[in-house]
Amino acid sequence: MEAFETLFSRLDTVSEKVSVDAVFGKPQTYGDRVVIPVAEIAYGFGARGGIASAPGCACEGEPECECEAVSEDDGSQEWPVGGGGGAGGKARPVAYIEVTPEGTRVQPIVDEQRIALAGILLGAWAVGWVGLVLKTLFTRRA
Amino acid sequence: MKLPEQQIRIVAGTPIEAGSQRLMPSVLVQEGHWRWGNSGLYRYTRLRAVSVVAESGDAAEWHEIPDVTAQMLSSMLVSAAAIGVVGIVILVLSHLLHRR
Repeated sequence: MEAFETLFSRLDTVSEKVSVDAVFGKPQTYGDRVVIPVAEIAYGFGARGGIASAPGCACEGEPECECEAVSEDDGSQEWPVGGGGGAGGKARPVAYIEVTPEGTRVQPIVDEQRIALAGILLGAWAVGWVGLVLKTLFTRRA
Repeated sequence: MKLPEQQIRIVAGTPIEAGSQRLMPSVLVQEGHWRWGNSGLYRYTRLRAVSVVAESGDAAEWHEIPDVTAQMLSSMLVSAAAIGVVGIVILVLSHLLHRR
């Protein structure tokens, strides 16, 4: 379990390093205007480990019981340990801030591909429901 | 089962010097934390810019940073749910009227 504690503390350290300043990108200067990209950042991680049943295993003493300790060379016994974990993250552009001598302007960024795909799915959903309703209504009339 | 601990807060970011103006950003931080004793850990963090205040001399102007993509997707999701509800209502009414 000490290995898991070490892993968890290191994962916490990683999350602390991703500060709120990561949302705003580095200002880029183009002539008399400055452009600052803005993004949405999300990340997560998980890990879990376990140890095989300690003495008092539910199937202890039964044939083909998997709750068996691993015998070491010195005669001592250790119970099998296993674990796993994963992590993921994403950064998505949301808008950009344009600073000019006239003032500041926030321009949103639209993910047209995602909107188009959602629109297609919404259209199929609507057509499906309309077809189902009309089919039911006309079937009943017949 | 214990629910994950969630924390939502708005944090002021580091001021950004851009040209003649100074930008004071605000970020929405959403964190979730779930732990199973000493055997498991799950943690997620979501950072989203909310607004920025542009300061120039004595003047300050507040600008909202909208997430247009998320707003459009949300409205589409609501529309899809409304279509489903209306369809179910029509089918139920049709069934009830047909039984009479």
